[in-house]
Amino acid sequence: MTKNRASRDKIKAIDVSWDETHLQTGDIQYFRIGELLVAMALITGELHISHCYPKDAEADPEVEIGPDAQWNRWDVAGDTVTVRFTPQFADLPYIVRAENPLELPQKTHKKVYVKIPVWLSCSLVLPQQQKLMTLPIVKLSKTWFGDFAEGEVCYWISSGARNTFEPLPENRFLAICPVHLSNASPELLKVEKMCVRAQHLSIYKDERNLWSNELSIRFKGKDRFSDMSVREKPPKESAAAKLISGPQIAAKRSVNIRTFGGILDLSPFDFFR
Amino acid sequence: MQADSLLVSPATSLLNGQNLTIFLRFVVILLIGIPVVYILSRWVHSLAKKKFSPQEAMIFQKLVFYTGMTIIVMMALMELNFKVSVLFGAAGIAGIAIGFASQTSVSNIISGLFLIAEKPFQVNDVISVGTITGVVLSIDTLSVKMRTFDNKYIRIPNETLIKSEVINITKFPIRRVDIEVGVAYKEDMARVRKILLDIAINNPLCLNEPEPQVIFRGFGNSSIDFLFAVWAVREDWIKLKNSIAEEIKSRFDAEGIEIPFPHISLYSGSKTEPIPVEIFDARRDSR
Repeated sequence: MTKNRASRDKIKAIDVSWDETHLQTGDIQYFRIGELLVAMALITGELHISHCYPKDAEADPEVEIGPDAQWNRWDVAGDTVTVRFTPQFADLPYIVRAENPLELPQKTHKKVYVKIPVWLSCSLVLPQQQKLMTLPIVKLSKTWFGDFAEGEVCYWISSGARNTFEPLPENRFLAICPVHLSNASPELLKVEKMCVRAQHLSIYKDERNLWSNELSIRFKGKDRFSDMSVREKPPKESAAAKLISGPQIAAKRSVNIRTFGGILDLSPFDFFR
Repeated sequence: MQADSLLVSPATSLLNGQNLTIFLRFVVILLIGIPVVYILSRWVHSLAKKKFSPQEAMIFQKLVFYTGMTIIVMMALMELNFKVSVLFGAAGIAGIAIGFASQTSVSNIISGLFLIAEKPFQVNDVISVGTITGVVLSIDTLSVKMRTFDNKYIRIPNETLIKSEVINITKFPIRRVDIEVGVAYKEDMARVRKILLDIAINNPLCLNEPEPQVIFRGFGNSSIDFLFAVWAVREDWIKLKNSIAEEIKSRFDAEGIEIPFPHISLYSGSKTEPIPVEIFDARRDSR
């Protein structure tokens, strides 16, 4: 069955739109976005989905799933299904390194913009409502946020936090996350990297870009956790953007949490033998 | 009357009303008391487990059990008009004898208390003691029980653990994988370093921070030696160690980087060519 699915003539992949798509029995469709290629087939009461990350997913519109690909299957009733693609943030926080090290004197604030790759969430709409799978569009490497004794695993974003907002060329899988930083401590805040807990953020869409709602982080000192809060509206930079995906974990009004890290937390100088 | 009293047997005296009552009370105290103490100790254990570690909960349970049993036994003996103070006197003498005999056991008990208080490891941690490595199954009054990775059951006295170096392999959430890499002298060191760091970046199990490091170890007898150190979360340590070793080998093969075998070159002087070696068949040459 798998070989029959994959051995058909090359099929042109369709760019993913954050919308619904329909399949009828016997249909096979390829969808691509970023590094991700998704294949979907409806075969006699079963919906089959597979995915891969071919090196030339964006360049070659006729790239296809290999014969050894793993397929996931779901029972569905009827000859037609409707599937919806929605963007979603990853299940782990993101660590963002400031593009240029940022220093915030006491009692000052600044807004930075972070581009976060979203994941693709695939859900069945008809004949039944069912969440199918969630896939990373861009494979991010993992990193450790904390010290050698305790901390948490996060995804690493290499694109950096920028001080200015620049409209992105239309990019379907990067969400712009405005982060408002304020230094409420009596010391200088040097931002080398920060932890963006995107699980608490929603995703909005305007004509060109994906956005998250604004994240506010209030630094209270090196030895204290920072206050994190989420503005539950579209970002001011795109007030008309529409909500397409809610947060994975509802944010409390204000959360006291570790957000900033320095390079010396995990100093390579601890390492010499 | 006196003759009659002389003819009364011990069995008969036992069965008379007063003694029978005493005996029944003795039995009832034991029959009710022992199960009650047992149930109470189990209840204390389940309560304590919610707030304390499994070892501390076990200590509370044993404390309640042995205290309860002592009270029940003393109540039962007092019911039989047994003078408990005599026991305490005898216990003093017996205590000295038992103390000499049980030095090791007492030492193990006290060592166990220190282990629980200090918490160098907990149940389910992987530890190394001497040449033994395994998972901690339980920390008991006298010993710690472990299961090795080849499924052997090992009992280590607490006293041994207190006196020995114990390595807790799983205490911290991240661990470093160290790979010794040797390359031929003809290789470009900067290029080797760049390739190794690229391998680390592309391995999904390898953490970006702490940063992977390539450290020069020395000019060895047969190769230039590096230490390639990468970090993984503790659960991925073995997978990273295996996957990165395979990736190093295949990438070095693809890039034409030689990992040399140990070898020796003979020179007759610093500026001469290596001495050629030729093997002759002595029997053929002598004919």
